Amino acid sequence: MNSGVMVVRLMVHRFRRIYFVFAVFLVAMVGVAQLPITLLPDWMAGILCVAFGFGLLTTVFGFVNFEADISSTASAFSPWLLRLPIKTRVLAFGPIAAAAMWAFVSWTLFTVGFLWQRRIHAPLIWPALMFVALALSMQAILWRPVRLGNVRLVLSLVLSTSILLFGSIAGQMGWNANVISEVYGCVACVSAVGAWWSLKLARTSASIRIKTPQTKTDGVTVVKQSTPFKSPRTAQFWLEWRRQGRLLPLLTGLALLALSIPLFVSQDKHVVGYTETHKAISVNIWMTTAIGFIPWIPLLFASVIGMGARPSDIRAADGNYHVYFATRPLPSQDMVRAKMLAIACGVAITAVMTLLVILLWICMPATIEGGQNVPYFSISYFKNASEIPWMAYSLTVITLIAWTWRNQTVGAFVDYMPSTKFAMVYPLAVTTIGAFAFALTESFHAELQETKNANIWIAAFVVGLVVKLSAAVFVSSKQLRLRPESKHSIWVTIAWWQVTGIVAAVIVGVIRANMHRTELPSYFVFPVPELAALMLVPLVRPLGARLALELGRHR
Amino acid sequence: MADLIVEIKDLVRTYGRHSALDKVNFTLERGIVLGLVGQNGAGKTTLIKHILGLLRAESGEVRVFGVDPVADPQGVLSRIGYLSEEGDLPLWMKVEELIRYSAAFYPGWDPKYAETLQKQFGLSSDSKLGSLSKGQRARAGLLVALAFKPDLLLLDEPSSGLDPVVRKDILSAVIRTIADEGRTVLFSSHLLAEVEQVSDRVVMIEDGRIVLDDELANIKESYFRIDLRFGTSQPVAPNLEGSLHWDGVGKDWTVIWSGDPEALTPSLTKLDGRIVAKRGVSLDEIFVAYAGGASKP
Repeated sequence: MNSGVMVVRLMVHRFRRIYFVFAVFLVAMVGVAQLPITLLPDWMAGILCVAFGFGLLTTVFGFVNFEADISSTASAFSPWLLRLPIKTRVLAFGPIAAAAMWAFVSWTLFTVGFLWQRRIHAPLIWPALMFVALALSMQAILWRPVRLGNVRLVLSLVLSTSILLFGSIAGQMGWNANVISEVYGCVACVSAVGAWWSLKLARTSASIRIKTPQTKTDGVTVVKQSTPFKSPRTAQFWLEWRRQGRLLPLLTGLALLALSIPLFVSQDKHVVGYTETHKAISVNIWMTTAIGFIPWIPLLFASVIGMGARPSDIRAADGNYHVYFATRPLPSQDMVRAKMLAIACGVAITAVMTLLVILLWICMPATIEGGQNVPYFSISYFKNASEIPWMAYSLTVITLIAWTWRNQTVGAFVDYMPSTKFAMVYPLAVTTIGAFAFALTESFHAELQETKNANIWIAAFVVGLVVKLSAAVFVSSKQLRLRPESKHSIWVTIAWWQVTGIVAAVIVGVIRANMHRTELPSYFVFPVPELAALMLVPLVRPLGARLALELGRHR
Repeated sequence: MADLIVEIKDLVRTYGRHSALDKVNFTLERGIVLGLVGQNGAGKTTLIKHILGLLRAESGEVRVFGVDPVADPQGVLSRIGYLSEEGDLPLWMKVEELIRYSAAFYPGWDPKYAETLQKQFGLSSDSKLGSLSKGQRARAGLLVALAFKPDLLLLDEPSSGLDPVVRKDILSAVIRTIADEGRTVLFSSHLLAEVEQVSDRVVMIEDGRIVLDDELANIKESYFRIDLRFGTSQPVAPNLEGSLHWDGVGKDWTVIWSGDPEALTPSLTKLDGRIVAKRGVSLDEIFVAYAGGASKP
């Protein structure tokens, strides 16, 4: 058998069924694309598209390594594959070629066989090259052993986000599709060389370890200790800040910086309205294109961090708590408190940074025909327009900051669930349900904004609430079984779950009852009360975190 | 009555159908070095995890410093220095950060002693734990386990897979800890020669049960390796009370014997056998006799 093919087969052997299922799914998609719209309505097609997106990303990352630890210093390439007695170029070529072909062919089949059949005129070449570039760049980054795992983590997240966003943004800015394809093609080629080079380094850097093991020598540096921590609580806060808290502001800061660069580089302007005297008001085109993204950036990163972008310090691979942390002489409640505080600090810093960047953006000048410059935020005054969009934007920013905190907090306590399996399945389940909900919402966007269809939202809310509360009861019953002596604390937590559920239901009811009085646009009003209320409910989880931590700490 | 550091009564732990600990009774007095030996999976680590409070007793009772380690983890853990086979250190920390972080939890932390150990072990402050060799990581773990001079030092197979130099460091640490009055050590290891060097008392655990618990000196006086010769060929090892392990074929057999060798003589006479040679045994031989397989009587 060809060595390259053998390497690819060995690399994905454990997950070969996923590839098979995805291939079958893709072929089935091509088949069902021929169905009339009555049999395959848009919302169902939307769900299929989301599933395709997940499948494509999952299978493409399989050629990097499914089980790679992004923040590790070691190469993500399987160590035993690195030791195969074959040349590096052969070892590298198989996975590189497989990733590129898989991504390109999958997108092509999907576009030509499904989207075009359903008369959705999606571009073919540049998205296909985008997925190729994404796969190969991840290979280049993850296969390389590095000195600082955190740098790799940041680089991977920023680069993958940039690659995924570049095509859409460039398209919106009027770039030619050929140019976008060329950019992605160049990135893919450079990444392929990078991946090969990374693999070469991984094979020649003493079993992937960058630093040579320390030995007892005269050159030992023993520095004076920094100021000792004032208390065990401060030490624990330091630990949580290092592991959980600082990542969000760090990533958000980098993303905001990257997003702001085109604002100062781009000179293109477009007309956003006219003054009362019919003078055109124009602003930097990047301003209106990207200002809507800014408040979503922390939320995106919070979700990624919460969903385990880095391995947990608390729970080891076997589901037990890490012995070193479990044996710190610190009450479990203080451990929970330190985590909450680190998250709160991280989100607060992130919120301040985001607000400052938004402030900077809206202070950028908008030009009134004839040469007068006014700050962007003041153009509604000149247009004599409604202030409602600004109010809506401000409310969105506040909601998203709260949502960011919520995602960080809830995500951080997933590890504290009493069931290891539940903790593992949870991120996948939430992502999948979220994606399906998003697909449904997008498919029925117009219909769902009509007042007469409000009942659909209410029904969805009730289902979501029931699922959440049932899960809470399930978790609590397991805790009761494991720790009957803590029944008081468990009952209090269950009660809080129910109280939060009732509060959430009341919020929705009140808003719905008064909806006809509001002047806010319907797109803002409709799903928001239900989503906001549903987001409240899992916040009870940190309440039960102490007991959950103790369950893991004293099994 | 001696001051009890650890007291375990009728401790039971099961994993599914497998009984990891089966009604274990065990005490550890202040100032003792206890060697805990047994095969892989015998229940040593499970027992140590109960002492640390990482596992709750399914049935039975665990008391460390007179309290339940699950009920008062802070009170118990602040007096225990623990080093495990795996290390279990946060690999992203630098040595300096590990020392600073660990120091915060122990009021008795001695910075000068920590610095001395750091120099002795050759641990650079700015080295990341993840980049250290296994031996150096074990030394870092030993440093944070010792620097607050714990009342109880728990070492769970700390020297497995380490080179002789690191093993010597660990043994020296045990010896230093013993030198500090009133300190207690529980030392679990496969390396019985090491256990023999430092232990006052040995507990042997097999399939979740304690099969031997005695002072090392008593053990050495109570076990013998005896070479025997029979008048007629023996098809299987004779079944004699006191014999732990037989080895041999035909007329020539060797037995590991527990108790007074003179008690063997009447039975031997009946079998037309006699003692050819007799000597004391090492802990290693006793371990193999209890744990090792086919030639048990």
